[in-house]
Amino acid sequence: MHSFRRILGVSAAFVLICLILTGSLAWAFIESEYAYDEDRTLRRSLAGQVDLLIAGASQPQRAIIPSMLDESLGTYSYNLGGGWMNLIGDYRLLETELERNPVKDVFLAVSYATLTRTEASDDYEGDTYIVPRLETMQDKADYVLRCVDYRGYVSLYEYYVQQGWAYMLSAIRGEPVHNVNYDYRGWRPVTTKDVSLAEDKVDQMHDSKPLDVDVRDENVKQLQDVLTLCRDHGAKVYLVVIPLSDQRMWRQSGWDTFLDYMQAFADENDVPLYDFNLLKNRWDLFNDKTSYCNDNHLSEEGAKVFTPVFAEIMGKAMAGEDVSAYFYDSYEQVKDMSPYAK
Amino acid sequence: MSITSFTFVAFVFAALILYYLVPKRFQWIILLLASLVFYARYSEKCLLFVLVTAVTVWGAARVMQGLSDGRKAYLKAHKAEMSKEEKSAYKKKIRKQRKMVMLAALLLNLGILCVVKYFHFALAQINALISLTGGEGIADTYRLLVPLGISFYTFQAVGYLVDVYWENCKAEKNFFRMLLFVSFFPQVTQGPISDYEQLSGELFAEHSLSYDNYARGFQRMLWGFMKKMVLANLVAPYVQDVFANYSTYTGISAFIGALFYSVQIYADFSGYMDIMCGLCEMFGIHLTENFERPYFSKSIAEYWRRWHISLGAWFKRYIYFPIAMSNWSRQLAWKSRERFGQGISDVLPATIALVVVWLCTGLWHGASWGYVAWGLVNGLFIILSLWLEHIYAAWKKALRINESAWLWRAFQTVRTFILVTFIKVLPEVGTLSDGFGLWRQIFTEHTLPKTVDELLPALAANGTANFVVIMIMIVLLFVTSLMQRKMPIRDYFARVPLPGRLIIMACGFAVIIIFGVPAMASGGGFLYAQF
Amino acid sequence: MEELLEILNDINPDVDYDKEDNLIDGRVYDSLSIITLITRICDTFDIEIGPKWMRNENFNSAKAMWAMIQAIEEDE
Repeated sequence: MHSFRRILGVSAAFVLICLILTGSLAWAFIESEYAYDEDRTLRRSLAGQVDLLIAGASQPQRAIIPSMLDESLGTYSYNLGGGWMNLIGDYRLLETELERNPVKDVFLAVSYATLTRTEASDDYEGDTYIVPRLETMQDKADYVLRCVDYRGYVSLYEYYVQQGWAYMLSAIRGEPVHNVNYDYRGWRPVTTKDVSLAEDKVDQMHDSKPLDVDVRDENVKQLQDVLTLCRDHGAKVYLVVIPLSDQRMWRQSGWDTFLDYMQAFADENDVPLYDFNLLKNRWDLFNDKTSYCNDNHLSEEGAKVFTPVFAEIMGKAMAGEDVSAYFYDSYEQVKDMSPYAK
Repeated sequence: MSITSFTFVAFVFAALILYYLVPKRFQWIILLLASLVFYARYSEKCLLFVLVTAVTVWGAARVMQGLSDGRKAYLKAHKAEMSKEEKSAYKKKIRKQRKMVMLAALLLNLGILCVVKYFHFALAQINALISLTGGEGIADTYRLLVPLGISFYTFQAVGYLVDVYWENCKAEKNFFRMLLFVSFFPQVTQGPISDYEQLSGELFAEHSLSYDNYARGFQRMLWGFMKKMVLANLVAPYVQDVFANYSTYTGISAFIGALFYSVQIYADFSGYMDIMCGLCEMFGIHLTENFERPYFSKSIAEYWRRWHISLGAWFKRYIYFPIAMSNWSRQLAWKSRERFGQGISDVLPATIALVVVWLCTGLWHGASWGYVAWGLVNGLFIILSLWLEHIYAAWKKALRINESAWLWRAFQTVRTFILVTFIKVLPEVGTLSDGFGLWRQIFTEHTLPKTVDELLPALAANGTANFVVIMIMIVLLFVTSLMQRKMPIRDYFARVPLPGRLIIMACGFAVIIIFGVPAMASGGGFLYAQF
Repeated sequence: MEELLEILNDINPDVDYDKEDNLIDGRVYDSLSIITLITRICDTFDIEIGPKWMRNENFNSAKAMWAMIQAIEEDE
């Protein structure tokens, strides 16, 4: 019994010391502005000013520049997009901003992953980015306990400890530790990379991997909750799809299935859908050499070209105009016109 | 379930709690259940292989035991009426029967091992021969299941089988105890390969909860995790880069890469041993040590007495001595004494045995010509040291070398480490010609690196912080190895007050989370688990 | 016993075989010397030292070796 009590006591002490040591590192990071998207403080400073929100994952985060959007639309917008963002994260962030801002419109970006992704398939990465963006410790704890699967706890813990160490090291070295850019208002510019397919790979890669089109009821419900949340706060929602590279659309099959189920959702829930992959003049605007940073994200250059076009079309849509003439009807038509099809 | 994961640690603690809760006579059953769960998590199909080995070895041993018990009883009962010749003939008959049983089980289990490990290699050689005759080879579209740790548990089981045949130990009556011996989860992936007498004494004894065992075992586990997850995994990208791009490296940089490989494989393998020996100690079980500061060896022969000790001991016991002391080997020695003198006849049986041992050792490590070459090179050095012992002694005398002087001992240690490093990389770079290519690069590319990036090409991609951690860990490993000559490290550690010990260990844990976990993608699984 | 001591002194004359009882565990005899020793014992005493006798405790001292030789002779 003596051994048992001693083992228990010492083990508990060890666990406690580990938690204090690593927890301090994690907490320091979570409360900081060290990562570029730890924009809690920035958003708090803009409270009461924002009338247009862009929400979604990393695709809108990199593609839509709030300052350029506002020039065209006369709005004051904020880009809530974030890496691996899931619908619960969208809900939590929107909830906070809708409460404290006079938001009239929400551009909610959806993608091929929105209604099919799971936490496990994302390896809980989205959760690690969402938690530091939530307002209070209570919000964070609530999110972790209620919205993160217990199998993700280790991933979150390890990530925050590692980031905490990186933060501390930067602070000691005198490197920048406030990495949130207040001018970008949530936009994340990324360097361009040539993502075009090599000629000898074109035939081999055509429709080589099917899209996951297994729509999860849970995700549909979560998206409906986001719509309801926005509408309850008097904001109009527009579903948008950010353009992907030609090579990404070329390599995968099942895009029209995605379009069909997304359009079906939009029709059932009375929300407009604008898929910018189907833009008729996309090849005048974007190309795989100069517009993307990888196969599914626009680069800084691509964003600067996309945002004004997006603003123009969405401005008309917001004014009630019919903008269907700007778009093809299907991905099949777009792929037939793809530079890789020639 | 990966050993470097919280899941595994939780599994171990769950097993530990159950182990000490159940009545002591059932403790081994908890170990058996844990082992079966551990293996089934890897693959339920592969568990069948383990069961086949356990069943066949247990059954064969029981039959052999029955025959030898029967022989004793028969001889005792008929002692008076049997002549010396009759007794001898009867013993020979029983010996033959026991041998047949042993060989059948041996062939089955070693056969499974050979097929699973060497099928593709054998097919490639057959295809090479066919292509010489201009024919079309056999397509290798076969995918064979490779049971986890098959090289380790098969050798352990075969050792037991032979020990029963030799009547070094009695056959285990309880099948489930045999199953535990074969599948014991801390050993099944990478050893150590234990003999039945030693391990069964530990597994089936009753163990009381002890704070010392728990604390020391946990300390050792933590140190093992640091070696594997931090040092081995951080150094891995440097090694991978030099192996993949050696032709672009300067000689010095390529040599540093080779040295890093020596660090990586030692940290990886001995780290695993520390994890497993540590966790066994928490259960009150003591496994045989597999490493004894091998890089401080003064000769290749000594190195192989300190590196992967259990494998060397296995080969010595079951291959080396039986060959060296067989009848034909002794006859050869006797004939060669007449022709070549005592000196050569003394070393000839050992030489033949060593060639076989090192050929087998090379093949055990891998199914490739690279590993065969690796094994034979190791053997060559050991054989040369036997044959040239007198010449070396004469040189040392002529040069007035003081063998106990620290400078000479340091020279021997450094020389052995460098030799061992060169031999180690031979099969690891890629093909055998890649191994020679790396050697060639080291010796012929004399350009001196002008910048740090030229000296360490992988540094830029892996960061200075990680490199600093590598260096700190290497220094720590070196210092603790030196300290261990006087006393076990944990005895030194025990002198630190408890709060200090806990803080140091918590820092070790933090280092694993910060540096070890991200490095896991580059380090991958344990290197020796592939064998 | 004298014949055994003769063999032992021929292989390694620097050992006091009356006192030394750690020949194998203490690595006084390495694996080559062990093979030489066993070969000569088998030839001199006309016995077979089977694997069951190949244990360190049987070779750690001259006394232990002599006891083993006598046991084998009786067994045969």
